[in-house]
This record gives sequence, C-alpha cells and structure tokens, in this order.
Amino acid sequence: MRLDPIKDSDAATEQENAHIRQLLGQMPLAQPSSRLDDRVRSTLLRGRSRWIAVGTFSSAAAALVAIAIVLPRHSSAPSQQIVSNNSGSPVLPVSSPAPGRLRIERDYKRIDDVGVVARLNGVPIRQMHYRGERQVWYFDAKRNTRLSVTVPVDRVVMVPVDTF
Amino acid sequence: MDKPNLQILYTRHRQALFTLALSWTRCRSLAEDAVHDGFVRICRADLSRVADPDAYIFAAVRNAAIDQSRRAQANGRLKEKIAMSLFDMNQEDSEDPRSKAECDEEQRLIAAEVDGLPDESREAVVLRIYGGLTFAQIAQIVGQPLPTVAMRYHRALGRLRMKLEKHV
Repeated sequence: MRLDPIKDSDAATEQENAHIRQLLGQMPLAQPSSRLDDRVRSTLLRGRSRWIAVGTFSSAAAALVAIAIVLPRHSSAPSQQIVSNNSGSPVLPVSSPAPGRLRIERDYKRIDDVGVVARLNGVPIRQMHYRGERQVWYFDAKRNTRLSVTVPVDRVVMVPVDTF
Repeated sequence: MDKPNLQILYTRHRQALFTLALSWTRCRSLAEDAVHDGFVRICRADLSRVADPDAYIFAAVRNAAIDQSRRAQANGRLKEKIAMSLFDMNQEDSEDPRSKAECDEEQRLIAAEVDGLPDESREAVVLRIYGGLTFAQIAQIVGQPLPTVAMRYHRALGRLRMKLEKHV
C-alpha cells in the first residue's frame, strides 16, 4: 500500500489510527462475482480489437491513397486482374492482360452465429459476427515492384428472427 | 507515455473498484454494472495521455457508480432494497471458534460503522485502505482539495476508533 509522507502534526493521528487501519484491512470484503470478470475482460478484448482494426484501416487507407497516386503514372495499358471468390480459389482474369502487370484480390470471410442475445418488442434478436480479410496484391514485373494491402473486417450485425 | 495494460490494472484493483462502486450504489448488481460501465468508458478514452492510470480507472468507476446510483434512485429501484454492506461477514475461515467469535463481534461493529459513514467519508476510507491510494490521488479522483479528503479520512477513522473504545 502506498501512503503519503506524514507531516509532524498528523503523525500522532496516524499513530492513533494505526490499529483501526489494521482492523479495517482485515475486514472480509464483499467479493465481486466471476461474471463481472468475464464482462470486463470481454470489454477489454473488444476495445483492443477495435483499436487494432482502426489502426489497420488507417494504414490500409494510406496504402490505397499511395496506390492511387502511383499506379496511374504507369498505367499505359489496363492491368491483368484476377478476382477470387469467398472460398479463396482464383477466377480467371476479366480485363485484358497487360504484359508484366498483375493484380490479385482475395477475400476471406467467417460468419459466427452467436445466437439470440436480446428481445426487442418481443422479437428475438440474433447476433451475427462477421470476420474477414481482404487481401490485394499488385505485381509489376517490368519495374520489379510489388505491393500488398490487407484490410481486416470485423462487424457485428443484429438480425430479428422470424417467429411463426 | 505508454498505454497502460488495462487487464493488469483491472486484476490489481478489481476488489477495490468493486468496493468503491458498492460504497456508492449499495447494491451488488448495480456495483458490478458500474465497474463494467467504468471500463467501457476507459476503453473509449485515449489512455496514452493519462498521467496516473490508477487514479483514472478509480475516477471512471466512481463516476459510473454515481450515475448508476442516481439512475436507480430516479427509477425507484433502490427504494425497496436494503442497502448492501461493503463486507461479507459470513465468509468462512479456519480460526479457532472462541477468538473467531470475539473477532466477529469487533468486525460486525466496524462493518456497521463503516456502512453508516457519510458517503464521502466512506469513499475516502475505501480509496485509502482498500485502494491503497495516496491522498493526492484521492483528491484527484473526487475533485476535492487534498486537505479536505485527508480530513474526511481522519475523521472517519477517529469516529470508528471512538466507537470501538466505547464498545471495549
């Protein structure tokens, strides 16, 4: 326990109160429940992941701005584009290929059904947790440059459940 | 300044924060809500600029507890409830029965007196004894001058001492 330095005038009072302080220190305090620990810990985890997401989004946004500035300078021909679907398997390029230039996108998604978490006007509300990541790679063989951008997505959606 | 580790701060002050919240709300569920609300507010704040994180989390939980208490009074939730004690006198331990009985009586007296202290005095005792905070930190938390909080604390302890002496 940290205590302030005691002035001379307070020293006598502190000494008189030493016994009562000791008794108070030994008192059995009412304990918080373990549920409080769970609530606070989940709040702290959510708070941390939120800031990580904000930081990553900021970095990704800065990277995209850089791309927007840099790429048009070298885009004499349309780039080859490969787009992947949710399962991660690549799809054939849709735009006409430019020699030596490549752009690949890939999305990963995961959806968790948390279950019914609340009721709104008697209607059960189900919580869905979407987590995902979008990855974009740029390759330019001519200039021997490559760039990759990863944007995480973390979203909670509340969906009313139809009742019969 | 580096961002403090909230998980460590919570583990360190968990009991004292709950006791502080209970001191204001006098209701277990409201006290737990207040501690949780306090940490929700802390998560939204920029802690890298906070000079004293320990004092900051106590202040956040205190404000949340006062809000909870006012809200509950406005809703009439507290009127029908008996104010909960800060102490749990039914906790089991392995002392011998005779000394335990004497100790219990003294502790029950102290518990009743602490529970009966004015809110501000009880708060000063909780922050100083169970939170392990300095008077300067307590003054910062409650927004009062340092001599005021020191006086509240010393008066509260003096009052408890007198009651115990009378009892003996």
